[in-house]
Parts: sequence; structure tokens; C-alpha cells
Amino acid sequence: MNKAPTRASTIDDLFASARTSEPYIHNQGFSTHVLAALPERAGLPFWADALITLLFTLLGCALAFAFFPSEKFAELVPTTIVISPMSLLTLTGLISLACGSAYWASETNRI
Amino acid sequence: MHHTDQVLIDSVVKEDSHLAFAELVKRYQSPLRYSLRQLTGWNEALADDLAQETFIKAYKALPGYQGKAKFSSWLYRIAYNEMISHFRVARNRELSGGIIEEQGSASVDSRDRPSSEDHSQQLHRDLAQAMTQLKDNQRMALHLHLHRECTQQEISDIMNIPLGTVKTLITRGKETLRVLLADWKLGES
Repeated sequence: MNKAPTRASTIDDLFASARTSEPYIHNQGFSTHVLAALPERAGLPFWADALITLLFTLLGCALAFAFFPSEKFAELVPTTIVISPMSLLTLTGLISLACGSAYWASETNRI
Repeated sequence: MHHTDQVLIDSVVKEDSHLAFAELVKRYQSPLRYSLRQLTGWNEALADDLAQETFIKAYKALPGYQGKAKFSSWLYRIAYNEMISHFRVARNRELSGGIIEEQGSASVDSRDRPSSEDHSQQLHRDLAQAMTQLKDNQRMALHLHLHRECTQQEISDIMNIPLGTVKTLITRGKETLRVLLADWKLGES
């Protein structure tokens, strides 16, 4: 049988009763849904990324300047270049292939 | 091993640990989903959507969490903003779904329920239904005060409103609920 509480205490009694009988809502895949919907955390900020690239480029240039035998290399450079149309076409193809590969690699974050 | 909230939060922020965040979700999903059910007239689908959105926003905002307030309070603040935002959009679009439909309902009377119905389960639903008659901020303040037993200062912080407003919301909300739930009878325990 139900009891009729006094009006003054009704609200507090009702909520006290609700507090003590609060059901545990089972996960049932809720956490999985939340985790699946989480966004990818952004990597380094743009300026940090650019700064790191610049620093390593400068470092590479400094190392190359220090260790590369530039005098000997200069001697190896031919003064006259004779190139046939077929060679030129092959060279153009290779350069295009290299450029295409570099573009693909950068766009797909393979490097 | 039981880690504190702060340890889990640090793990999420520093290592982007989804495992740690999953633990936080598991820890708070039930009370948060229950609260949102209370605040949406026991609309389970809507409450779960809002809870999911709350956790996602919490994940994004976690690097900015300074630990000044309890994690649960911080989470409730996000949930409250989500709820407000949802109802504002719904009202603007006049999409009368869920709680908006129910706002015209009459007072809640437990005498109409079948006797075999689980009394306590019905209590939760009826409280939620009665709460739909209140304004969003009144509903949240009353829920935090009566259900989560938050102090008025905590409610003020969560809802980002002055302490005096919290007191007014609670007093007026209680008066309204008293009328709405006047016929509700508590079962003998």
C-alpha cells in the first residue's frame, strides 16, 4: 500500500528515493560508439612542422657543404653535353615518373 | 588497478591514450546517461546522443582541463551546454520531438499505473516527465541539486550563472514540481 507523504516533504522524499534507486545503465556498446567517433588528434602545429623541416634542411646543407668533395665533383661535370632525342625523351619520362611518385607519396603521407 | 581520474586524464592528454579515455567513459557513462534521461523527459535515444556528444567534446577539450573543478562537474558543464544547444536548435527549427512534445502534458499521477509495474523504475520516468515542465536551466539546477546533491556553488560553476540565480531556480523549480507531483505516492519501503 502506498503512503501519502506530506506535501512539504514530497519533493525531497521523491528525489531521495530516486537517488537510492538510481539504476546502473549498462554500457552495451556505448563506450565503443564513443571511441569510434573520437576525432584524430592533430599532430604538430603547422609552424612546428615547418620549423623542424627547415632546421633539418639547413643541417643537411651544412653537412653536405662540409663533407662533399665539391672540387672533385666539379671536375666530373662535362663541359659539353650531347643528348639524342630518344635519351631526352627517356630522361623526361624518368623525371615525370619521379615527380609523380613524389607527389603521390606526399599526398598519401607515405614519407 | 584503479587509477584516479587525474592519472587517466594525464594519460589521455600526454599519450593520447584511448584506453584511458575508455576507462573514463566507462566510469561516467551511467550517471551521465541517467542524468540526461532525467533532463530529456526520459528520451533514451536523445539522452544517449547527447551523452556521446558530451564525451567527444570532453575528449577534444581535455588538454584545456585544469583540474580546478571535479571531472564530473566539468563533464556536466559540457553536457548542460550540449543540452541547451540541442533544445535551442530544435525550438528554432520547430522540430517538436521528445521533450518539446511532452511540455504540454498534464501533472504526473502514480495512481494510474498498473500495480505490477516496477514502482522505482516508474518513479524515475515520472520525475523525468515532470521535469519537462520546467525551463532548461531550472531543470538542470534542480537535477544537480536534488539528484546529484551538488552544492549551490557547484551548480553556479557548472551552469556558469550567479549564485543568486541558482537559488531562485531551485526555489521556483521545487514549487512547480510540488504541484506537478502532488499526487505521486511513495511506496512503502
